[in-house]
Amino acid sequence: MLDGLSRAPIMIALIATIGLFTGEPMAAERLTAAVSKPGTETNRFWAGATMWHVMDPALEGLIAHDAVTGEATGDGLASSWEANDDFRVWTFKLREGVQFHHGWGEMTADDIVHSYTLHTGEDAIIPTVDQLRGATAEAIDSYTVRFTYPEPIKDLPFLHGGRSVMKVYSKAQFDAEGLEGYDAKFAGTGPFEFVSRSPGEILYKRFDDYYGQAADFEELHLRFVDEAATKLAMLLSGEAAIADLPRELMSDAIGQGMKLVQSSLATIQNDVVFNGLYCESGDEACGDHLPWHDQRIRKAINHSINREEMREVLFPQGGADILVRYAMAEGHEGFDPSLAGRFEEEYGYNLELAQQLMADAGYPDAFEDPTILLIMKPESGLPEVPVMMELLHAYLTAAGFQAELREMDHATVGAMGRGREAYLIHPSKNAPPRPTEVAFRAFYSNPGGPYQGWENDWTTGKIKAFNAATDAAERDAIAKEVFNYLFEQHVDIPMFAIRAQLAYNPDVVASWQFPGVTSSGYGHWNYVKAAN
Amino acid sequence: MQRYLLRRVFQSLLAMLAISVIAFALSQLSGSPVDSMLPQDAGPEEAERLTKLWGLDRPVHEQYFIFLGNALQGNLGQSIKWQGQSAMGLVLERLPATLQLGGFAIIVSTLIAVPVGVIAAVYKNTPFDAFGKIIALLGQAMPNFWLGIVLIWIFAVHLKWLPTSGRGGLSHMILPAIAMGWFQVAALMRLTRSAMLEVLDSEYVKLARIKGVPEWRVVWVHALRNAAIVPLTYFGLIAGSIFTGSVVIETVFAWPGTGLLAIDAIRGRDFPVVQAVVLTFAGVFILVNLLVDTLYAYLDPRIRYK
Repeated sequence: MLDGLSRAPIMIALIATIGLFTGEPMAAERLTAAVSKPGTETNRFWAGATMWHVMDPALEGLIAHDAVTGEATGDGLASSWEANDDFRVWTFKLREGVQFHHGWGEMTADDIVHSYTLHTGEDAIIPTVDQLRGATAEAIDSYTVRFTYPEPIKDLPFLHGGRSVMKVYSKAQFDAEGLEGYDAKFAGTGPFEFVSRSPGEILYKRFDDYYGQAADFEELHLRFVDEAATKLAMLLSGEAAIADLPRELMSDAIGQGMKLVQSSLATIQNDVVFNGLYCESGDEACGDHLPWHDQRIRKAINHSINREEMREVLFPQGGADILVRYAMAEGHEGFDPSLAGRFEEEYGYNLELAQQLMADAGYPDAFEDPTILLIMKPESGLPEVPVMMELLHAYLTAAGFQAELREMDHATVGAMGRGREAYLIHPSKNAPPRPTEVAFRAFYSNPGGPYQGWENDWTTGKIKAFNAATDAAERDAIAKEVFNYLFEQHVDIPMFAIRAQLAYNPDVVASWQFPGVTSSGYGHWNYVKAAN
Repeated sequence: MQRYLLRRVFQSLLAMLAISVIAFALSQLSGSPVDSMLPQDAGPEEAERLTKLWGLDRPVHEQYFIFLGNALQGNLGQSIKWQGQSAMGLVLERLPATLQLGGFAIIVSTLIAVPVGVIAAVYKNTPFDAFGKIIALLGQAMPNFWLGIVLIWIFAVHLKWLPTSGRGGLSHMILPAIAMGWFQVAALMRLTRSAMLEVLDSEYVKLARIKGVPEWRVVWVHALRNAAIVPLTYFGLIAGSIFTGSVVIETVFAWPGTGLLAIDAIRGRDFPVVQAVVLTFAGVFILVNLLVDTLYAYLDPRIRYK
């Protein structure tokens, strides 16, 4: 009988032993990275969502960014660009001699026009594509392309640069093979060319005719892994040399000999939004019944929060304060450095002042429903959000607010926002940091459009004036005025500006430099330096 | 026998129809894929454009009948999230990975559960039996996602014997198959043990022993063959559990199967893919149960006359 009993363990041991010799070894020339799953797995960039970090090795936008400073440069497909006086007509000069992968020839203006057509077609759902639409694109000559818009669009370079809404595909390949050709083996112009894709992974190889910085690694293998613990295990076991771990696991990786690489600039701006304030004159959707409609309550909520403590818990590797919700970023129009000096006074932790403000506003008795409804919803790239909202709930409760924490998914909040019935306080993020005009359009006084409502006559009037102005000094002054107003109105609960972080194995990777100012968060894969 | 089979096939078709209604209704209740796919700064015009493009502006009943008509022709529509790919194509692309893992998990769980169950029955109320009970307890108490991570940590990170994740050679299957099949081990082991206890006490087993048949043959051939009918019935349920379990295990092990596809499709509210996954899961589950019922009827003639 014991002979029979021993069969099962023997078979399992046999299978395990066979397995040891069938595992695929990691090629020495191959760089494997465990990255978060893209929103969509398709070669049609325009028809997907949140794919930048997995498509950037092969597909490029018109405008490149410096790996260190993050500045838009003429080192990419476009060597220069200019607008006419009213920012409706944009002309891009293209770099000569840029080759498409797989022998599809030189990139010319016709490829840009073709790519624009693809990205603004019926099936295009890439985020922010609506801002790209509406132009007439024409090839002036082989290396000059012109976009003519019916309305001024001052920040078109951002859409073609940091936002990178449009990637450049080969027209010659499309003419010869159609979309099926792209599905099978698309040709881009990036430092790596596409080799193959299967569910959960994509393989690139170095493109030796790349016009820019050549990649160190011969192959780039991106594996899409959602489970953070699995990504850490891949890194520690040597299956992957790079992993985009959540910050809470970063110290585990570093403790095991891995190293941390950060973007040179902040990638994500994070805050918590007082939504539902659609309060232009006569707008019935205005949430004037909400406690946070009262500016004193918004200020009190901000004073109830100990940001230093939160930063220590949530972002031990660091996170900078943000001052005005998303729009104000150094280097963009209207930036006012003096607001940093007033942050402590207007937003700093001061429980006594918070309670005084609540009393002045008559909270809770003066409000029909004094509930402070906090929404916990996931934010991609910010796994800390649930803990952040729990902490917020604890701070507000400690201050005396009747706070309620409720779970909701991102899509539901989005739909409520578009339906102008998002009477909620919810987390939000902005990536990459946007130029002032784009941020104004997205986040403030855009009746019928905004996802996170802050609308009133003053803001709408000023933003209209800003959009109409063409004089740089005038625009800067108006933007500054708007930022000061928003800052003093406490239109949100500003949290932190955070850099993209990844862990890498120093035995394989020596260094990596990327700016963090593009939609991919991390990128510039050709700047990953091999350890030997 | 034929009438029995025909009745079961008809019941299976009715079940598929009911499942299609439920899958469609639940997808609709989860909200619009437009809200899921659109970025936060997209306006109502963009939402309207996509709603129309994806046919979501039509009345719900109209959408269902279009879906049903196409489904009968094997077309479950185009994926919303994976543009350019058909929903069924995506499922069929990933199904082999799930079947491979599920099949291997069933083999692993059977290889563990049946011997342990038999030994526990033969050595009733001994340390062997206690060992079997501990296996059962652990199998039902340990969540498979936790077990999966622990297995990765021990065998991939520390011992470096097996890969952490992904689909590749046989070595890639071992850890996820154990994590997936472990829960089944407990139930299958207990069923085998109780069935064996009953059979070992029967007259024909006593007769075999009196006739001098070797003990190992009495247990592993005569008794086990007759005791197998109860665990065999349970295989129908295991198939269902393996599929639902694949959703978790495929996420932990980054195994590119239908479970992972289901998660992605649900997150993206990709109705056609969600419906294709649900109908495929249901179809496989019904098919396996039909096969088990058929086999059961074959093994136990009394079933045919009920």
